[in-house]
Amino acid sequence: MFFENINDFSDVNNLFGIPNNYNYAYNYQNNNVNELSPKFLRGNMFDNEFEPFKNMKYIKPALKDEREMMLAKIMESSFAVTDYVLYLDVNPEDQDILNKYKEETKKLEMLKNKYEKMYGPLCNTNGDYQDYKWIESPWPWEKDGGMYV
Amino acid sequence: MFKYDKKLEYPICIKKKNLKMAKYLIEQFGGANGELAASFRYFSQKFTMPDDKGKALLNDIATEELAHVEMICTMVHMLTKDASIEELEKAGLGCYYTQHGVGLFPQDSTGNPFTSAYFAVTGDVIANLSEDMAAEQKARATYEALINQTDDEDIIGPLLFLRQREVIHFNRFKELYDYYKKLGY
Repeated sequence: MFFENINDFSDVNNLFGIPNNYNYAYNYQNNNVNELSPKFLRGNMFDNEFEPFKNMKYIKPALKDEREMMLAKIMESSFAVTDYVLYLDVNPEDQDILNKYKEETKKLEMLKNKYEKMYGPLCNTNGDYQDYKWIESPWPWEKDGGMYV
Repeated sequence: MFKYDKKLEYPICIKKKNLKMAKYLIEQFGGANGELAASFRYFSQKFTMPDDKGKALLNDIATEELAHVEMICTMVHMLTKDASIEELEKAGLGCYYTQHGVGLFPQDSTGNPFTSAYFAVTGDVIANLSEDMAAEQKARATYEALINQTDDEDIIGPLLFLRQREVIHFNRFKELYDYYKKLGY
C-alpha cells in the first residue's frame, strides 16, 4: 500500500509526525543537502562517541538531482540501522536504542520501496518489475555523469 | 549468505583524476590494516566466538567492512579512470599497469600483494579481540595520514566517514572485550 502514488508521502509523514504539506520534492529539486543528518555524514550515530579529526567533522557530498538525494536518504537510513545493530549486538537490553532501531528499519523499508518503484531494484531479490532491470547501470562504482549511485 | 544492495554505504563522487592518491589509497584495499583484511579477519574469527554477542558483532562488522572495501575500490577506480600510461608511470604506477592495467588488485601502497597472513586468526577470543582493536586503531591512523595527503574534498569526505567507523568499531570490540574479561575469559 505504501507509495502507490510516488508523490504521496503521507505514510512516511504519519510515521514521523511530519505535516502532510511538507514538500520533499521541493527539497530534492533544490539539492538541499541540509536534509542529510550530520550523524550520517560524520559516520557515527552516537554523540558521546564522536571523535573528530583535527577541526573536520564531515564534508557535505554534492548531490545533483532527486535520484541522488533519494539514494542518499536511503544511505542515511541504512547507515543508522547498521550503527544501531552493532551497538545492540553488544547491548541488546538497551530499550531506547532498540526502539530507534525499529523505527529506522520501517523508514528504510519505505524509502527503498519508493526509490525502487521509480528507478529499479536496489536488491536482486526484489523481482516486482516488468523487465529485468537489475543489470541496468549505473552501478555504485561508476562515475559517468557524476553519478555515485 | 550475503545479499547485495546496489548502493554504497556513503556517497562517493570524485571528479578529479589523482593517481598519486590512488596509489596511496590502495593501501586500504590490500594493505595489512586495510578493509579487505579487516573484513575477513572478523569473518574468520566469528566461527569461534563463545556466545551470541560475539558471533553477532564479528559477523556484522565483517559485513560492514566489505562495504568499505567497495568504497575504497570505488575511490581508486574513480581516481584512475581515463589515466594515460605516461600519467600512471609518473605517479609510480608503471609496474602496477604492467601487471594489472587499471584493474583493482589488492596490494599495499608500496606494491606488496595482499596476503591472508593479515587475517591474524587465533582460536583465542581475547587474543582475537585484542588484534581487532589494534587493527581498528591502525586503520584509523592510516585514514588520518591519507586525509593529510590531499586537499580534495571529494576524497576527504568519504575518508572522514571511514575513519569514524574505525573509531566506532574499536569501541564495540572494546565493549565486547571487557564483557568477556568480566566473564573470566
